[in-house]
This record gives sequence, structure tokens and C-alpha cells, in this order.
Amino acid sequence: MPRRGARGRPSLLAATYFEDKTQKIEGNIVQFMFRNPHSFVHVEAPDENGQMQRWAVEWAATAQLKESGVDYDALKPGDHVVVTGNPGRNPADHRLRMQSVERPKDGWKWSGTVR
Amino acid sequence: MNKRVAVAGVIALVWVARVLAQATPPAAKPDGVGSVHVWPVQRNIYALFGPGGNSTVSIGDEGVLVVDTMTAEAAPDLVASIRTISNKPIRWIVNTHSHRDHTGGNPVVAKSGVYVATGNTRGGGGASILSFESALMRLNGSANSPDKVPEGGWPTDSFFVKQKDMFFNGEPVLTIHVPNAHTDGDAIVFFRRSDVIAAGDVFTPDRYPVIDLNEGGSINGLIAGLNLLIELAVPEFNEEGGTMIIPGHGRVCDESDVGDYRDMVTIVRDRIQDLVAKKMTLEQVKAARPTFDYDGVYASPTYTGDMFVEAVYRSLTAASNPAQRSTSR
Amino acid sequence: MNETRARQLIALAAAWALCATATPAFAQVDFSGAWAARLHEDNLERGGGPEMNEFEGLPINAADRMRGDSWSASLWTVPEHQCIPHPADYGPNFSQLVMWKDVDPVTKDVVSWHTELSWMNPVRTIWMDGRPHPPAWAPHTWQGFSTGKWEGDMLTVETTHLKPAYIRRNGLARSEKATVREHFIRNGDILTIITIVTDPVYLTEPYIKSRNFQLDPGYRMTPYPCSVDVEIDRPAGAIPHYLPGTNPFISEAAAKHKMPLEPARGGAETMYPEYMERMKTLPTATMPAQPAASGSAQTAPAQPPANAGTPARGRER
Repeated sequence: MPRRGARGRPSLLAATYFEDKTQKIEGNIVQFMFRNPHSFVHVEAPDENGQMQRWAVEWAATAQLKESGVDYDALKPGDHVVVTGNPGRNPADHRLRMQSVERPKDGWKWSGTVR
Repeated sequence: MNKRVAVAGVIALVWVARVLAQATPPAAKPDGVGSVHVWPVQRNIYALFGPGGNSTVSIGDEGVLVVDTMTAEAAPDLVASIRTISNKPIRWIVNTHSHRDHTGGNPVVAKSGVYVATGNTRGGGGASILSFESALMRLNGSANSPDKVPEGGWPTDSFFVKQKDMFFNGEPVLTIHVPNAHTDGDAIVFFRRSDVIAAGDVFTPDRYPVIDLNEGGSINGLIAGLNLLIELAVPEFNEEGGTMIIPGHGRVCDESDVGDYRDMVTIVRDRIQDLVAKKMTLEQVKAARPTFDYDGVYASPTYTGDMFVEAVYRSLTAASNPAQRSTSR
Repeated sequence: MNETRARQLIALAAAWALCATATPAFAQVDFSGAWAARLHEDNLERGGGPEMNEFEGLPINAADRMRGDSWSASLWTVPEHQCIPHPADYGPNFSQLVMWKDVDPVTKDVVSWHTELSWMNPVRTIWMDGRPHPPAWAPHTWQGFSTGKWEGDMLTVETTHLKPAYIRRNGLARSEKATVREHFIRNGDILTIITIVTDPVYLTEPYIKSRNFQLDPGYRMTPYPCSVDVEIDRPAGAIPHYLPGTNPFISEAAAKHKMPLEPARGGAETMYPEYMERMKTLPTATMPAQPAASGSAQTAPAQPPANAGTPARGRER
């Protein structure tokens, strides 16, 4: 059966993120954009200097998320979450590529690889 | 001749007709007169290309509105080309700025038109001409400018605030001032229902932007003008189509084309700004070749990368001088 | 007219019609159907994506190298860049492909071929009816304006009027002055598309690549709607890029793969197998020092003129 190929944005992962590094942030969701080419979760959380930032966490396209059990209502503004991801190469962006997200309140969790 | 031969003859004729139909590509569309070419953009709006700057034309039951009139030499061909798409009277000319490659045809085009009463009644015939106030002053000689045109080409109407609106040929037509961009008298014209913007020399995708410092132009104002075009434009699908933008020079564009151009101008400005902050002289900045990666696309023998660099440099260093002013109120 | 004369004229007309037909029907191939991308060639670039400043194997010039060195991946988050599809010369790198044809109802000739790709669903038309390309002032599109003709059983396509885009999606630009020639070749259930990009601005030689697809009758194209949103909060009009000399990642890809730096900088010589002999003589690249937290070349946007009002914080649709 021929492979059907990726469905997200043609990845620029290596060019966008430090794939050999991991960063963790904890804060409240401001916005969950369930969309193409890539979904994004915006989280208000402190940076390494303790300053509150609006972090942009890049996630997968909608088809890939649905396949992994995440739909548009999986996360809501106000949810307190812990996010782990690869940091972006441009520190001014305050950006991560999603590796895992957990909502301690009910234990909901997702982890995986964004393509 | 027997019946079989006659039937074979008919079949052969049909087959020949088929071949001729295959071999003939679709007919070309009519394309203007002389040195001017016509391109239908969408709905009411046509773009005309010729010597000097581009013209934009709105046609409809109310008549014809012309944005920019090219050079004096091209004006007869411009009028003749308009006549190939409409036989209605030319009622309005709108000038995006005062430079002669966009206004030289004012007298000829206005004379071929018909006056329609406005809030300011006036004598005489010919189409009405609208421009921003500082452009008017250059065109009528008040500002002692080389842009001055013969009296028949002087604007009859002007505005000095952010925007002048009219309703023409079934749609809102917004003439929006863009402060201190290519000049201090720039205006873009937004045909809101046709979803077309005539951008004048705020946007010139076939060359580096010209910043006329003597006429109040500035690089930051020009970038703001490009971002305004992007604000107004909405693409139809996949960053393509939707709002079409007719530049002062160059091909018909859409939002992504403006975005690409805006990116280039912003990046070059940022590079030069960084060198200015390091206290480099103009010659040092030129030697750093901040436009090297874009020269193949935008430079020409008449307007080189160095000339653009100099304009940006002078604009940025003048901007740090509080004496620089804007004319928009 | 006597009967013999009539027969002669009919035979002459029929012979002319046969010769004048553009291509005998038996030489034309049917590309209709769904085709699955086989990522055999250039897999790493097409799948996971190229790395920063990884330009090897491309006939770029110094100007394009500077474009690549200035590029930041953050540019993709600028609203006007988010929903850009791949252009015609890059699309076959990545997606599933569907092709179909329009047939003239009278003559039964193929008037046009169409392609659609799974990512972003761009649809492309290849005109087969001999129409001319538009003039220079016509709009450019991501898929350009394409015309095709048969060369035996190979479809050769010429494309102009492409929007400016990229040779490789790590910042190497392809200008709008480029033209593209493609050859569509079908061997049984395998479709090969050979793409030749000629760019007088950024390439010193034509860039040639081939992509293969396998017939996939069970595939169904799915919609890929794209919405423009504020991905990264920054002032409208701020364009991420590296100032000249400040890109901290130039040697990273080469060092990571234990290559010399020179081939990673690209150029026509890096396309040819004999270059590998030169590579053996060059030192391995060193990993760049980690950039400081404030060392990003994210350039602060210039302030707009005082009378321009407050810049909007991004824009959504």
C-alpha cells in the first residue's frame, strides 16, 4: 500500500526549533487554535526570568490531532497546564514545539510527535 | 458524381473542420491602442499599462473614473484605450500623487471628459480631477514644483484629511491619504465592491521604491503604506486572489505580492537602520551592500540598489531630525 | 467535377487532416487518478524538512546564499505567509497528487490537465489547446500559467507567471522571473515528474529534480482549510530576519552531519559527484557557539511615523 504522506505543514522543525533541547512551562491557556497549517496553544506563563510571557506552543494540523484523540474542545481558555516542548530558535518568539501537555486538574494528558 | 463519393466528401469536410478547430487556440482579447495595453482586473475595474505609470479605470453606467493619466505623450493612446472598453464619458480623474509620469496626461484626459457638479460648483467642462492637497499644490504650481502641469490638468478637488469617499459606478470609492510615503501627497484608491486598490507609487513591485525626500517621502511612511495595503486586502484562497492591487509600476498583484515586497523593504530598512545606529557614513553603508540579495529582482540601470540605499539612509537620518514633518492632519 | 477528381480531393483532404492533427491519439498517456508520493529521492528534505543553512546540492549564487543566511523560520508565522501553498515547482516534493483532464465534448481532445495536491489543496491547470502565455503585466500565481505539449508519450509543460517562492524551504529564494519546464512520464503505475527550474536571478544553472508517484486508486483528496491567525504576538509589519553576519546557525547543519562547511553553502559545483573528492580535502565544520538568550537577530521593528496611530497587534481572519 503506498504511503499516504504527511498531512501537516511541510515541516521546518529543525530550522524552527532546537530539537535537542527541551523546555517546560506552566501556566494558563489563553487560546487554543485548532486549525491548519498548525494548531497553536497560547499559554501565559513565566519565562526563565520570572516575567510573564504569552508562549506560543505549536501543535499538529487538525487531521493529525484528531487521529491522536485531540479535538477542538480538548483545551479551553483558563485551563492550567504544564507544557513540555522544544524551544524555538528565536527566543523573542517565546515559542515551543509541543511534546506533551498535561492538565493536572483532571489528569488529561497528550504526548507525541508533531510532524 | 455518385452518392458514395458525395457522402465521403461531406465526411472529409467535417473532419477538416475538426482539425481546424483543434489547431486554433482561443482568440486573444483586445488589448488597447498604441503604446497602452488594457488588462481586465475584476468586476468594474481595468488596469492600463503604458509609458509612465499604470492607470486604473472604473467603468460603469455612471461613466468612467481614471486613476492616474500616464505621461502627456501617452495620453491620446490612454483615452483611445479607454474607449475600447467604455463609450461612457470620463467623469473623474484621481491622481495618486503629483509626479508627471502619473499626471502628465491630466489635461488631455480631462478635456476628453465631462464635468459633473460637485459641492464646489465651477465653470468650464472636462472631467473633475481629485488629489491630496499637497499634490494639488505641486500640480498647479503653488509649490514651485517640476510636477506642474498645464492648467487644464490642475486638480479641481482636493482633500487634506485622512480620506475622501465617493460612490461611483455602484460602489464606494475610497481615496485614502498615505502620509510621507513615496511623497507627502500620496493617495491610494480603494474600489470597495470590485475589491481593487490602485496603489500609486506606494507599491512598485518591479523596482525598488522611490522615496522622494524633496516631496516629503520617507521610508517608514512607505512601509506603513505597504502595511496599510495589506490591512485592506483580503485574499480569496491560499493567499492568492481576492483583493487585487494595481501598483504604480509593474504587474497586477494581490496581497501576497505586497507582502513579499513589504518584507524586502522592511528587511533592507532594518539593515540600514542597524548600520546608521553604528554611526556608519553613507559610503560605508553602500559598501556593506545591504541590497545585494535583492538587486537581481528590483535594481535597474535607472534606479540602482545604491540609489535606494541612499534614499533610505537619508530618510532614516532625516527622521532622527525633529524638523521633519508630515502634512497630514 | 468528375468522380475521379472528387475522390482525389477527398483523399488529399483526409491525408492533410491526419497530418495536421497535433498528436496522434495513440501517443497520449492518461495521467488521470490519484497518485501517492513516494519519498525516495531527497527524503530528508521533503519529509522532516531541511535544516538551517543547509544549501548543498543546489546551484545557487551568492545573492541567494545571502537570502538564505538572512532567513528566519519565524517568517512563516507572519500572517501573510501562513497560508501560502507550495508553488508549482515545489509542490510535487511533498503531497499526494490527483490529476484529471477536461475533454472537449465535440472533438474529444484534452483541453487541459489539472493537478491538485493534498497539502493546502492548490489546483493547477495545464492548458493543452495552444493558447499563449499571458503578457508580463498579468497577475502571477502560486501555480503559474502552464501549457503542455506531447513529446511522444511524455507530456512537457512550460510554466511562467509564478509568484516569488523558494528553491528550498529554508530561505533560499526562487524569483518570479523563473520559468519551469516539467516532463510528466508514466510507466505503468508509476508517474515521474521531472522539474527543471531556470532562475536568472538566483541560480547559476538549471535546477533539476525528479519525483515519483505510485497510482493509489483508493485515495480520496481531503480538504485542507487554512486560517490566518496570530501565531506569535508581535507588532503588525515586524518581519523576522537575521541581519547580515548575525545568523548564529550557519555551520550547525554541516557540523551536525560531520561535513565540511563549504558544501553546505551550496553552489553548482556541489551538485556533481566529482565534488566529493574535493570534500575529502576540507576540514569538518565546527558546531557554532550557543547563541545568548538576547542574541537573537530578531530585529526590533522600526516605529511608524508619529501620525500613523497605534500599530495593530497582528491581524486575524
